[in-house]
Amino acid sequence: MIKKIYEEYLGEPYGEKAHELLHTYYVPRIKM
Amino acid sequence: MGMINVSINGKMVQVPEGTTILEAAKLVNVKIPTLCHLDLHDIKMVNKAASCRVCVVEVEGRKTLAPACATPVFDGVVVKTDTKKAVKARRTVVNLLLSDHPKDCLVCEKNLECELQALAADMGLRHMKYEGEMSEFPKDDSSFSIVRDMTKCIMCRRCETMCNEVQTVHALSGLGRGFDTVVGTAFNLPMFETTCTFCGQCLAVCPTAALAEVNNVPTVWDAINDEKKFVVVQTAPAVRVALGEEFGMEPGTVVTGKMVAALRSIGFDKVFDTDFAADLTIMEEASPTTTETLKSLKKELLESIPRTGLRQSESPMRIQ
Repeated sequence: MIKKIYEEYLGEPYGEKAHELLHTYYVPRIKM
Repeated sequence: MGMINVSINGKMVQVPEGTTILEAAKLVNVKIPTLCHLDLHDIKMVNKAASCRVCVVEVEGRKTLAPACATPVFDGVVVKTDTKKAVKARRTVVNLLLSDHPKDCLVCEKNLECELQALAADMGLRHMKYEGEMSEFPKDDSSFSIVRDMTKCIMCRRCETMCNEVQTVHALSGLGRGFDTVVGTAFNLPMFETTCTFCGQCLAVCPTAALAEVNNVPTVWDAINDEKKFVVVQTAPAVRVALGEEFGMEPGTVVTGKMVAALRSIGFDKVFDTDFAADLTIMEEASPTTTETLKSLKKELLESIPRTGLRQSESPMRIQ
């Protein structure tokens, strides 16, 4: 299933589409 | 490091310098009761608050009793762990701890899993010897995951060690002095408003129910018993490996089938698995490292330029 989703939808691991859909970014949330 | 000779309850043992009385005693199969002490060998974390004084023992030539968990041995030391004086002191210490502890064990989250309860039982304490002032602190249930009930705290400071030294979150620390001392948050803010990340390591090491999980079991039962609801459950990949141990199986036993069957008989309509998403995460998280490494390796081989070290790859979490 993992192979298939890369072949048919996400392209390559860590690729552009995968990035857009699966990754996030970090910002510090200091509360004080 | 030099080896030194130690005598514990008349048993001789050779230990490296810096060994504590507690560690040396363990080597000759002498059990010294402890409460605040916690040694997580795997991550080399030792909680040496020596605040509870449950492990006190007699050391020849020393006027006062010594806490075994924090007292290093010296050459020729003669230790006696179960003299009348030591046992009496230990029982007094536990009696005093109980005097400032709620007595709602029957309905407590930690009933039968509480280290203070187990200790009192081991010592055969049958009545509350002291009655005095009781600590009063409001319960902090501001967060979705952790409940703090500081009336049950015995000041072992394990949570502090975990939060500050191991997790380096610095959400918990000791506040106040004397009887009013409490492990709390900065400015006594509710947990939800602090830097706490709710990793849960503090409650994993708490010997009592001072720190406990928010219990969502009733909410789940309500959902299951609601005929209008279609209830699905999804388990994390680790659960199937960790669960068996709770039922007396060999640690690490894979119980996927049993777990799914149990969830269905509890009444969940569908059982989902996080495996797919976890595999995808692995692909994505491993990729920057793997591709970068492969790229630099390829470059190095093709260009034959001697270089030291590979480029440090970026974490996927940092990429914007």
